[in-house]
Amino acid sequence: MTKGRLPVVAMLMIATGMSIVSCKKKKNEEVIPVYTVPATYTFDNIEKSEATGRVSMWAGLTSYLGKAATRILSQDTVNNLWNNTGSVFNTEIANNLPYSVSDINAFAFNVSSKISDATLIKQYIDSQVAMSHFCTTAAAPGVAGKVFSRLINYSGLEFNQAVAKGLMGALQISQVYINLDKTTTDDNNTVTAGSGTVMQHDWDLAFGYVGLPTDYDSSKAYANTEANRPLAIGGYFRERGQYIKAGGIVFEAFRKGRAAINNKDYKRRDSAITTIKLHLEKTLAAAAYAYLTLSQGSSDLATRFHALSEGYGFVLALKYRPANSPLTSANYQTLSDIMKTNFYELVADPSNTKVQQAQAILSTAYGQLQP
Amino acid sequence: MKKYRLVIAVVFAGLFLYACNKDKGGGATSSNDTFKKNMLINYADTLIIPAYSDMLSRLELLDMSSDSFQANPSLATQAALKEAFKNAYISFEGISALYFGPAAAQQLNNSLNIFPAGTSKIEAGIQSGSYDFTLLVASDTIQGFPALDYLFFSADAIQKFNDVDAASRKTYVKAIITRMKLIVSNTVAQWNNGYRDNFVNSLKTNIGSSIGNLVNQFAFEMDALKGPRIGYPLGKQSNGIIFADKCEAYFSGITKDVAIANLTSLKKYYTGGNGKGIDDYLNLLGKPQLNIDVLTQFDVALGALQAIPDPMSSAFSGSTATVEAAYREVQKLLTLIKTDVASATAVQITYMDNDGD
Repeated sequence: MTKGRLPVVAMLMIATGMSIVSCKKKKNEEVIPVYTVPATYTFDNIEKSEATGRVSMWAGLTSYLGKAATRILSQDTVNNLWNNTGSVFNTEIANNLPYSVSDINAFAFNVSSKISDATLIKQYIDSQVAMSHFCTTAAAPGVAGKVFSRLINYSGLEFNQAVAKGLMGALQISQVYINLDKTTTDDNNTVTAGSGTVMQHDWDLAFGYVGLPTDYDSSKAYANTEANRPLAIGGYFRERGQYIKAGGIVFEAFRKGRAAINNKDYKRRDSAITTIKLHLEKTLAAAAYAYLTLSQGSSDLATRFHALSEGYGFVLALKYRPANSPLTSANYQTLSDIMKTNFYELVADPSNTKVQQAQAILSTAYGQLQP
Repeated sequence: MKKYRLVIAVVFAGLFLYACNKDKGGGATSSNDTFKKNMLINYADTLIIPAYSDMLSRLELLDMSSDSFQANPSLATQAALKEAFKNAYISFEGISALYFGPAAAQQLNNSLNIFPAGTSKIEAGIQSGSYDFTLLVASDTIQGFPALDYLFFSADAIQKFNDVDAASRKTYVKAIITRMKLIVSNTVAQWNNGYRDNFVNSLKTNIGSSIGNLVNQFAFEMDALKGPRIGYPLGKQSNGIIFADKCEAYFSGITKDVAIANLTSLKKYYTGGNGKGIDDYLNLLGKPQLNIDVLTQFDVALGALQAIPDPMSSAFSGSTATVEAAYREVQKLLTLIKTDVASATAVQITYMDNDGD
């Protein structure tokens, strides 16, 4: 028995020794801690239910809002989903999520308390409830209603896209940034059983808000029947962020950062923060860019309005980018103004001048976003 | 002696650089761009803009014939009207494949040719006097050629225009034709005021590019020919139960004429008429065999359509095998264009709304 184990230990020692050597070679003056970064987000004392739970609530809320195309929504239900009261999450709207509906309903927190600009987002949500009363009538310029399967307002906007994608900014990236920023001043010495140090806990919450499973595989096409699948912006890493490789980069940075915190390697933690921040806003930009392209590739108004609505939502989400974002306030304002143009006006321009101007602003700020 | 050697060295270096440039394909790309630009100029100036002008003048003639018919609804004026209607419908088949840019901006095809017509909605609209042609989807089936086809040529059309309450019917018809003319003239104006230059200078093949739009619309029209024009009335969506009255131009009985006009015009857009077209582009891309296959299949499919006896609406049940044969040949052409031509030209087919959320 003992004899059999020895070579393994020896090999491990050699491997560790090699990595020390190679690290020292790279930066010969500093002493760089040596530790391994696991391939999955597996560490001691992870407690992130508050974050993962809110992303599940996002899924339930936005799924309910999507029903407006086929039935009149209840304002009470929407308010309850918003506040997590009245046990309104059910399997019709919140299926195959990291948490079951009974778990979600039992949580002592809600999604609304962690949303930046909650008033604005709630207005979009309530607008969708109002829109649902038009789910059986035809849309026209200036008239809310349906265009094929899409429910649009007087100017062509699907409010549920503004909510679902807007929350990727107002909820997800906002909370990721807030929690990542906290880690830079958090205590990292006192360990609380179950949730680690305050710094570890905040880092884990940030990871939870991004909506990725702990064993995330950026190359995998997850089925929507898998409970532990990427959600919200996490899902868009693959859907619209493959070209910029955001999924793999963000997931790796989260693992590296948590390993760095465990080893009090704050330099690598900070570098992980920079990487995560940039690639999250870049994912929003890449998604907006892709949808603006799609809005130009069809003569079908339902397709065009849907693509523009997605673009509207992702541009709204970009409002919550970090202060040092490559997208300047002035350019963001132009972008936002373009997306607030009446969609009937945008699609009536055969050359898509304004839409292409919006795309140019995005690629000037972030570099090439799509193939 | 030394000077001589230097010259040789420079010459060699020059040759080397020249060779390098050639190897990198920089020259090839720019000649492709020149080709593409010339091809697009050919499309815009000799095919597209003239096709719109033709559509507009045919609509003017239709408007006049319609006025004559309504002033004196009779078999004779209806026959004259039918000629003008047929010419205009055939002209429309020549712009149907151009549903991008200005036409898409004006929602031209959705307003001019969504069939079958919603006949009971049309009658209800005439009765109530309340109809809004700008309603999306809901009003697509109560206007354009299919609505005129019904209003002018259904069994009791002449009688209805002679009824005491024919005034609201005449108002309705006028409103349709006025809207058709407005949409087409807006489209022509957008082509002439800026879009033409945009079109000929769009030299990529990505989503929204001119070549991307053309190839997408070729495929879309083939899908429409295979589906709504032939397949649906033939029962392809209804377990073989034939719905002859759902075909294009059912009431006027010119279904076969417009189907052939559609495919003939598509072939013209594919070949670029007498100038450079997608066919030459495929040759330039080193796909001459694919081009031959497509051209051959165009002719086979056209021949199969021509073999269908008139009126085509009766042939769906009367000569099912002949229609079925045409359906299959159209499907083969669709496959060639939608997969092989699209992939050879690096165009992504985007006209289907496949976004899951």
